[in-house]
Amino acid sequence: MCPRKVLGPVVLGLVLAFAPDASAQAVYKNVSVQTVERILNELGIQYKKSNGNKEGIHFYDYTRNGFKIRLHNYNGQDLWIDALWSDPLTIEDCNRWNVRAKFSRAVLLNNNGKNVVSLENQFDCLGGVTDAIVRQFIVRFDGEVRDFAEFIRSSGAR
Amino acid sequence: MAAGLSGGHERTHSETASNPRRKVTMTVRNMLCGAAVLAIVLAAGPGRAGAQGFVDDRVYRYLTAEQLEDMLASYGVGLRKSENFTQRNVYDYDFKRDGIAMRLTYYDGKDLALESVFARNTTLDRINEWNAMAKFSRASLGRDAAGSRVVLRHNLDVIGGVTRGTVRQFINQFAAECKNFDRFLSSTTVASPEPKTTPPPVTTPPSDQKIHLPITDNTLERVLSNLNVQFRKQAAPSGITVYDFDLEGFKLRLSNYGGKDLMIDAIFRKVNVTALNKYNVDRKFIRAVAYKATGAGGTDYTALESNLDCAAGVTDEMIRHFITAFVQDVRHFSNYLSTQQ
Repeated sequence: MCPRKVLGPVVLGLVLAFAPDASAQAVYKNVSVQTVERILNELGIQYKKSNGNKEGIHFYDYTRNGFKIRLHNYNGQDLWIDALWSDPLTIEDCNRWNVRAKFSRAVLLNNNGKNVVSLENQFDCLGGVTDAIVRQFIVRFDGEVRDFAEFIRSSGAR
Repeated sequence: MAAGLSGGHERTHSETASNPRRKVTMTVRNMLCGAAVLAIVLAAGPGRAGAQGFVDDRVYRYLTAEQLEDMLASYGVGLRKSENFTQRNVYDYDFKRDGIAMRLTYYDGKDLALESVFARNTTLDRINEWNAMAKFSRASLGRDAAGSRVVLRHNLDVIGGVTRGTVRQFINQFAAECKNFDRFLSSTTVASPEPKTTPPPVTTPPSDQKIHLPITDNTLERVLSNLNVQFRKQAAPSGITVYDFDLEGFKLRLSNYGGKDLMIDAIFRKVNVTALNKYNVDRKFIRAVAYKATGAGGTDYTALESNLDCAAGVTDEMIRHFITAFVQDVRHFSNYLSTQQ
């Protein structure tokens, strides 16, 4: 295996700040709309909600640290979070990020003839999830977005 | 940077394969045996979700016959038990639910099957029509000495983990399917089985499984052992522990990064990054990555990876699901690679 990215102290701080009381948390396998919205509110995130084409799919758009982020809830069974970049990145750039990434992946999308890079992460809720895990999923992505922006800016990308 | 909509990200969950089995005819001896069991079950009183108000949300990955009978009793199911003498630890339970006679077959604690026989004439085309529409059942048309038999069946895999609620829902769902199927058979037009469309959101009641934080090696090894996995362990001074094992024919590596996050991966041959990007676009929960060779004599390779952030705590079941779901992804990726140069 290749060496993996070591998490920075900032992320560790966030982890500790949101560390749960492991002794008493409800575990559920379906993340309700109410749960997602309550957690976003608890995190102080002001979001704009929209619905997907199919029933049970909801999107939450918000801005964190200057980056536009979308959280998706697919019937409560899985959560998806992403941010899009229009910078001129290649598939090779995406792969170089994926080599070092742990809690995200970069994919190159072709949106109506225009290349867009999606930094994204998903969480499968079917094995069980807690409020703390949903919170961690959202907060962790903030760090991924920040690191990816730095990856693009510095020597990471062309 | 620009942010926008991420269309095309709606993906479906795979269905669990069913495991149909055959059963044998009940004997008088079996019926007597069943009556005795029924008496014991009824004498045991209400289930754990009864008067005491205690909800048993344990996840069973193997059900004893006694546990199943306890569940059935707590659901108010009056049953008749018979032993299958051609297969070890296989039992049939006959009972009625919502007026529908059905048989529940217990297969050595690993899976359950429900079936109901319908005394109606129909054609194979109609049976096929039902099977094309139905989600939670399948129908078959057979012939025996008594004439043609229309049978509706439904299976439940226990090994993946079930709760008392799962078994109850399995029975209730099948009862609803039987009613729909009966209407379907009696009509010339298409009735409405549970459609194969995306189901509405189901709110699962919270359970209170133990949450681990951090993830110890003991926890991981317990989960792996419960999956009947034999692993080779390597612990590094850096606090990373690595477990190599085979599961369902695939070689996997599970890494524990100081109890804060888990990573699982499988290695494949080199594939071009365009094909990997396409795979990542189309799939969830995983990351397909191209790696350069390390060291002399090494070769470039592809890894399929998934990470579980454990910083907020995880349960045994979450870890288990993380591993078993990944195996399905590995299988899918392996098939995908067979289409790539």
